[in-house]
Amino acid sequence: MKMRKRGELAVVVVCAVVGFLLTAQLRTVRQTAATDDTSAARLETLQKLYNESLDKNEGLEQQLTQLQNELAAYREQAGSAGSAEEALKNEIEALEVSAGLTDLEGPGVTVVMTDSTAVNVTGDEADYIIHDSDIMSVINELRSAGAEAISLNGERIMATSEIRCTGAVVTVNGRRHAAPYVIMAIGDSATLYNALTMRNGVVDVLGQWGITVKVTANDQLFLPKYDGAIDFRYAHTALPEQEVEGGE
Amino acid sequence: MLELIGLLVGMAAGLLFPWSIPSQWSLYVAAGLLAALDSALGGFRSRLKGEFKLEIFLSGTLGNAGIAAFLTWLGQRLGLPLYLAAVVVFGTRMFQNFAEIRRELLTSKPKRDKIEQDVVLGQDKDTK
Repeated sequence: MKMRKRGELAVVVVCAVVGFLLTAQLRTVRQTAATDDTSAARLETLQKLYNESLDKNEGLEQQLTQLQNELAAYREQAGSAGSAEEALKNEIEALEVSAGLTDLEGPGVTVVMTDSTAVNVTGDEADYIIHDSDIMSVINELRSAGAEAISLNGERIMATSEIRCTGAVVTVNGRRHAAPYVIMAIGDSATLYNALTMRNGVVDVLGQWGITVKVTANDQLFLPKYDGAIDFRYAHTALPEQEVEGGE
Repeated sequence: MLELIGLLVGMAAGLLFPWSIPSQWSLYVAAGLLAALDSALGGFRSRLKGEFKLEIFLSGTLGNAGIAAFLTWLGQRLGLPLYLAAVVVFGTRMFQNFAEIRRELLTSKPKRDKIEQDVVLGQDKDTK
């Protein structure tokens, strides 16, 4: 009969183990479910925030276009008032041309750069793709040859424009562009063409890496204006006379 | 009755247990839980039938839990849900055990009286 007692104890102990495992497991499952819920909720919140900022961005872009139109109308009015205002208006227009704020057209060259088609022998993919420095050397050469306006994949290159490697793409004016890169430059097309294709010139050097650079002279090119906003937050005009002028 | 008390004590301990089980162990705990549940029901049944043997009960409890854990481990290594084998076997046996317990408890009164007599006698002898 002592056997019976011990047997009962064993069954009770196993029952206790069942109870323990049951509640412990239930707690774990409940906690996991709770964390899953919170991560899903977080994802939803982030998605909502993203959508909101997208909407806001769109609204601001519309506002910018509207304000630019208003500004144009004001200038029109100012221009019709008198000869002094006429002179100011002409100056503003000239400055806008050099700042990249107007659409421009004229003769020039088109440069199309495509990633290397050479067989990868070094094993490093980075040796065969176009880098920001390659694009910058082409643009630098164009500027040196007297290009008046330059765009990369339709993005106007301005005085403050960056050309920066961001992974497999380059960022220009804060927007990302991928190969093939189409550079358009307005200027004397013969000079620009020769500057690029001269022996040991930019095209020659890039060609040694297997990068295809196609240069064509064009009679008529269209370069769109920079459509963002230029905002100087830290730089101010130093001379007070010029400040009055700039405030016009 | 004592079994129920044991179950409640275990549940209380599980609730008051200060650590929670890491999620990667959760599958093993589930398999072990099923094995323990099966053993508890099996032990209860054999005690009702009066054919309980401590060695068989303990070896079955530990062995079943071990095999269930091993199957779970192997399944995770092979990418095959082998723990389902333990789930199916223990699940089926749970129903079988329950059916036998049911029959045992609902069979003719004389037999039940005999069991109660046995238990009372056993207690009397132990107290002496």
